[in-house]
Amino acid sequence: MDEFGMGNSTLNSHFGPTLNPLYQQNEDIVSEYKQETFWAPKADSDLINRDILHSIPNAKEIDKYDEIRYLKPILKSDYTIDSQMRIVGGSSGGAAASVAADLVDFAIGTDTGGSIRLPACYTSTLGFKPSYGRISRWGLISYAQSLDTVGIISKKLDIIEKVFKMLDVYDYGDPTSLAENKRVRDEDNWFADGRKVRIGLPIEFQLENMGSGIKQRWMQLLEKLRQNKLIELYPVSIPSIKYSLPVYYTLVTSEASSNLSRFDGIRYGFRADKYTDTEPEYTVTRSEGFGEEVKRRITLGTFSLSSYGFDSHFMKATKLRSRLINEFNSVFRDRHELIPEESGNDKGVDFIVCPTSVDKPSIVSEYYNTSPVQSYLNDVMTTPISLAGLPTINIPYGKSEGFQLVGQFGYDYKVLKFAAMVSES
Amino acid sequence: MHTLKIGLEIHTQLKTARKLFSLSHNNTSNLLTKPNSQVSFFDVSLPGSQPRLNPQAIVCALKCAIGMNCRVNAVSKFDRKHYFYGDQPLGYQITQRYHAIANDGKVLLTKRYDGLAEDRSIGIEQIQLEQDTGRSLYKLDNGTTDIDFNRSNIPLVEMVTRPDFNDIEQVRAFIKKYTKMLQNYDICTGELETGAIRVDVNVNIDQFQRIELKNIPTTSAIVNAIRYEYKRQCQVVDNGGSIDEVETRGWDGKKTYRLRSKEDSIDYRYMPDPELPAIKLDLEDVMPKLKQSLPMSVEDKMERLIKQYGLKLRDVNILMNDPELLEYYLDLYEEVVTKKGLSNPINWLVHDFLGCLTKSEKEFSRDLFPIREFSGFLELIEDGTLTKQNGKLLMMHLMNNKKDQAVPIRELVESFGMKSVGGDGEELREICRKVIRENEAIVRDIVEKKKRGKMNYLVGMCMRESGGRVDAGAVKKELASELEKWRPLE
Repeated sequence: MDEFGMGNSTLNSHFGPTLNPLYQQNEDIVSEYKQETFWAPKADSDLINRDILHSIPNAKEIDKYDEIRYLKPILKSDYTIDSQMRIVGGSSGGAAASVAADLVDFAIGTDTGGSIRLPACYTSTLGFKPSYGRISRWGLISYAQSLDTVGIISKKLDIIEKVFKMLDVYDYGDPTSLAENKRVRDEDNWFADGRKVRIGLPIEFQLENMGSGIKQRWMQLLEKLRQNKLIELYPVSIPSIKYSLPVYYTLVTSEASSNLSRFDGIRYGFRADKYTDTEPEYTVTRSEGFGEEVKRRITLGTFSLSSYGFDSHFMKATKLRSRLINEFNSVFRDRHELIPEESGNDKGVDFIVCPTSVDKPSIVSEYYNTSPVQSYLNDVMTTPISLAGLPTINIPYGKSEGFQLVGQFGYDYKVLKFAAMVSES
Repeated sequence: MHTLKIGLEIHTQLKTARKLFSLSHNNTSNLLTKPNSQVSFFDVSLPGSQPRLNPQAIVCALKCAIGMNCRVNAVSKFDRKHYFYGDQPLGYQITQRYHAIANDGKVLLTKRYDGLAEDRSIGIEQIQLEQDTGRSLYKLDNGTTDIDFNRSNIPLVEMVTRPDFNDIEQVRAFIKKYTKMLQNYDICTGELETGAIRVDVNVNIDQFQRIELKNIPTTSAIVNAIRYEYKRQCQVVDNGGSIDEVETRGWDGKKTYRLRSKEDSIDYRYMPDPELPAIKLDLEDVMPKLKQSLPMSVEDKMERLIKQYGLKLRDVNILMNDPELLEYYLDLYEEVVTKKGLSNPINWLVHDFLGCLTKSEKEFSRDLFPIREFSGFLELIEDGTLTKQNGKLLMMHLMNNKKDQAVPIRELVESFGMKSVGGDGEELREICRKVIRENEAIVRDIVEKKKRGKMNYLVGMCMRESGGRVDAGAVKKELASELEKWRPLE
């Protein structure tokens, strides 16, 4: 985890930075692989609920345990990352990297404001963020749970669909889990013969600061889509997209500052053990235990929720978020599954398509020098869709380049189905 | 003289089977529950655990809203109130600030039911659902604190009144009325002593700033604390001072003391909870059904006792305090008044029977004196076989010698020689004459010095002489007629 899923670089993780498998790294940053062993209770033994052991079990019980060995990489103390190495993106950068490096067929990650789509884009993999509430968050450590969404990264669409079908179930344990009757399943007439698929291109995404390489790729893609006889392209306007970065960072930091307040060192996790007379060592524990980016976000969120900032920041952001959702609803043809009476435009589009990132992934050494605010700008293409909770998938289109296909809330299978059609052609 | 203004904030633990947002059992009221034995992941805020609202808590809150005549909101939401404390594992409390479940209630405190000097209406601002915290157990010997999370996440209702009280007796009456309502509707155990109900008080005088009194354990402590605080504030102002800042004070049993002032107050950073769904109620469907399921309201029950049973408020209160005693009384009334046509047994029940219980250090139970035996006993009183005086003795005896309840009561009276002396019998006259003969000095005082008050002494002597078998009224009459005839001996 990149500091509690915060940040979009995956450079600050507990076990060191995650590098992007698409780029060359000449020097191995690992000095050695150390073999580690642990013992796990066998599934059919009566010890099944016991903890795993890190030392050999006693002779009486040893038959009831499996001995499991694994290699633990030990980082060099003075490694250098190649000058041309680019970041993997984050925060589910580890998940994307392990898919890109063919270590696994798929990986599960979470996407709050682009944490699946951005690393998928940077590693040229498929990264699917379903509608908010579609996959249970039970057991997931909350970062900003009005946005946190579990998603899937893979190189193959059919694998993503297979995994999604398994996970796409209502969970009583998660209060935000989508009710069974709000989950649109397959509908045969989505792409009936003769009806053209309407794709919207939000004019607000034509950003000035988009990298020239990306801009060029984007034009190529549009040209290709234009030539497809089954597709019609429409410019659409969602004016509030221009507010979505500040709205996103206001809401996300507020929720994070709240959610992380349980990490006070009293019941679990790090504790500074430096007592003061007036309080348990909350201040020292949290100052020492959290990383810089986490502390920065807690501070921002605390301000937004304070009596000074609540109306002017938090509530304002909340209102703008509602406006953004209404604007998305006004351009989609399908009805929003949670607010069907306020959505469904017959003349609307089936999908929205837009780039996933504004530029190629940064060179690692340069990223270390970018300011936090500058790094937040990388999320400009992904956060509006997160704020609206819409299903979307990053489809790779060149090295570390990709675009997002976005559908109406609840229409996850429609997105996957159309993604398959686009990928084929 | 300064005007007094008081408002209350009352936290009430709801009697649900399980906790507000988890499936652990809600049984802190059982003091024997082992610490940290009723705790699930969410109660200790394990990362990755999520809240799930217990609908039973909503029902309890709605019943409370009905009892306080509040407007129930079709949509209510949960908010987070942030502060760090060892027994607050989330770092925030889930509560309802911006959209509570009910608002704008009213409770009428009256002369008739609450025994106040005059009627007073108290506005209810808000009723909100929220979580209780864990319990900190401070260890004085080594300065550490243990935390018991059994209480963590138990459902509470916080009720806030408007500052409509202007007399301490109103506060006392309100707390009593509120706890009675809770018990009647089975919302809460209604105990202040166990912490099931916790009352915070806001007190101010004239137009000065309010002072908040927190953590006061009992109704009498609350009354004393307000009384003290009123005097203290009056003194501050009378000495030329002024009270301009909200301050929180505690109560040590004798005086209030400062806990914290405005400077070190906390910014709670209230935030709408981002994952708990709003509570949406179909009020037209739910409320009539819920109202129908409730028992008769406390005031309706009281009114029935006052009107139909002709009871005084004091006796009504005694019966209302103990549902079993009330049921016993109603059965006894049925047997004694409705079936046998005797007079209302209320005094014998409330004064004599309960008095016997206190003296014998016994808890009330209807088996102590079954309805049949009680009724037979009252018949003897009514027909004059037993004087009230001896009745009380016999009652005491029967209560402590249960096997004698099996003996036919008339036989028992005979064998104890308790059968009363008739009103105009020879025996009564003899007794009176004897007492007059033996107390000449007193008699002189009465007859010659007109000290009528000393008559009671003679009555008492007659009672003693007869072993209580004479009726005081009859004795008085007989003595009077004998004294008419009395002449000094010489």
